[in-house]
Amino acid sequence: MKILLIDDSKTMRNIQKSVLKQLGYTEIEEACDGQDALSKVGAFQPDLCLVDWNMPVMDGLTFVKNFRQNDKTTPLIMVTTEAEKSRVIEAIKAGVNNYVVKPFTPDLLSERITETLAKCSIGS
Amino acid sequence: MAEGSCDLDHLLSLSTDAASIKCTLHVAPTDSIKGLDVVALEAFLTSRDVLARYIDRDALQRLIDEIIETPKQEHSMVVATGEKAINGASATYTLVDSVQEQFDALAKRQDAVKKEGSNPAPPPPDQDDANSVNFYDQMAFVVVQRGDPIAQKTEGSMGTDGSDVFGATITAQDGKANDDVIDNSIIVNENGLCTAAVSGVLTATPLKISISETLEIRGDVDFQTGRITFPGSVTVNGGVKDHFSISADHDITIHGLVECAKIESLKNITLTRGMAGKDTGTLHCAGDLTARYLESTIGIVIGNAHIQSEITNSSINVRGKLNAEQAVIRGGKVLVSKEAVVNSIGSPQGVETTIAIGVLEELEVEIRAIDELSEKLQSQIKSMTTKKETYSASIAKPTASQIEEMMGMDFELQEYQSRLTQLSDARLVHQELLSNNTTQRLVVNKAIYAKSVLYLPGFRVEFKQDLVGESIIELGSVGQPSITFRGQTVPLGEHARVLTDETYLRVIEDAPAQKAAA
Repeated sequence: MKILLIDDSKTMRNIQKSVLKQLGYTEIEEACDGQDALSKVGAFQPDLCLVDWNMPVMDGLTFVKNFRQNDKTTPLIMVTTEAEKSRVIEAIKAGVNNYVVKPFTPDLLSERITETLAKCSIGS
Repeated sequence: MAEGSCDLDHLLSLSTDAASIKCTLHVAPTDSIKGLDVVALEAFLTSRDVLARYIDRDALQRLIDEIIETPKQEHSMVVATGEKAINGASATYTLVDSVQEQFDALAKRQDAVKKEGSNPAPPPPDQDDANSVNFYDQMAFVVVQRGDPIAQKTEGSMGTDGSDVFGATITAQDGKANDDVIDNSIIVNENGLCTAAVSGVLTATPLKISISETLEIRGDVDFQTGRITFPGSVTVNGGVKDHFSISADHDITIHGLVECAKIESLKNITLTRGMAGKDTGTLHCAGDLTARYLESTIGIVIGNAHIQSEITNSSINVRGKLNAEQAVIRGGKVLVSKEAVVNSIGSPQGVETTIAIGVLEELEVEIRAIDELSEKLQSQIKSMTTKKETYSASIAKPTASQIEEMMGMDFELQEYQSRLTQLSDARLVHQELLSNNTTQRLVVNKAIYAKSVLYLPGFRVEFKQDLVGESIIELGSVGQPSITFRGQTVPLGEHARVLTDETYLRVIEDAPAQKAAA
């Protein structure tokens, strides 16, 4: 399974990468903002994206909207400090499949990834 | 017989060589040659059972011509020739180029040794001269590895029978198979390629090609032999001179004196006489070492060491037991991982001698490295925890970046904790290894002299006075070292100065034992 991590913080990417490796996912690509991510999805063809909201150049929400124009099925999980209900709804409307609020524990992230993949697998 | 014709039966006679291959016709002096012609001679020969196909009619004609010219002389001529038997060729072995080149180089080396023989130290090889000889590094032997091509065999051929002039068969001999030229150390494949069945030293003469797994050197290892690197066992009937070396995959036995040399064996080393290493000679033995004596030598023995006479001013590290019941350890430093039995330590003249029992330096170095890393990690964990607590306390409502920063700190803390756990597990494994591979027991048959220093894990013991008599010094998993001297077991502190010391680690695994030790 190929996973794309999109976050401007290298520390956050390292944390997520560590959790993913513990779950047995080793094909991981990183992007530092939405623009960078869009430039990589074509070649990398991810099976799952973990997207931060607040990023320079192109934020996570814009990335989701752009990405969904061409890809309706690949699961997207928003990993962000934006915890307000209205923001969550906005993200879901834009096309994210699940939502993880920072700070998260490795267990929570792992649980959300498993849950999202299971749902999307049933849906497809 | 026609009138006037000569009497051929009286005139002619035949003789042959031993094999009856050549038939010679002899003609006696005669007055009359009437009726004497080629046909008559041929008829005479066939009447004597000479096969017509072997008769040389030209020769008969030449004989007739000679007789006509000088009838009153005796004449002889080979007039019939049979067929010789042609023996078959025997099988031959031709060394492959790479091996032949090595033998050529050896011949060159031997010539050079003869030339330089009177010089005590031949010159170093000239880098620019391809013909120069390196007396140190060029071995005087051809050493091959198992599977190496050695020679090409050419099979022998069958013989072709011959026939004598009377038609009797002369049996030819077939070529010899020469299978006995090689032995089990060489394998011949279907194409005649001979390869080494074993690794060892190759000898090749026209009568014998063989590989020996044991290299035997009749004299010394010196300029005559060069430095030895051998895949089997090495036996040296002489000694090993300064700056030469022997490295063998199997046992090394040296009957003469080893000087400032380097001796390495993946198995056992036996020094019938001993080694005088002049402070730089080294011994590396992956098995057991047996030696009469070691003087000014540096050595590592992975197995047990058996020393008969003495260890003087040497630095020897024995990972197994030291059996030196009759031997004196005088000067230098001897480390033994397991039990040591010696005759005496030090000398009545007060030579400083150090012996460490029940220690395994390599493992201890690793344990200390683990401890050092653990200490650093603990310090980092402490510092990171304080930093995180201070940071959290200073923030009422964290921003997104502050939340991420705190998550980063948590992540780092987890990483440190995880590494600390790994190090702790590694230490336990090392401790167990150290515990299983060391024995803290020293038996001294005769005396421990003043100025001797004994290290035991966690202790340094200084002997200020001679302790003459049998003594057994032991250190259990807890408590102080003890000595059994003249039948009485008492704390070692009663006979020597016992100091706690961290030169060699004392592994005490559980807390109650640590408390007891303290």
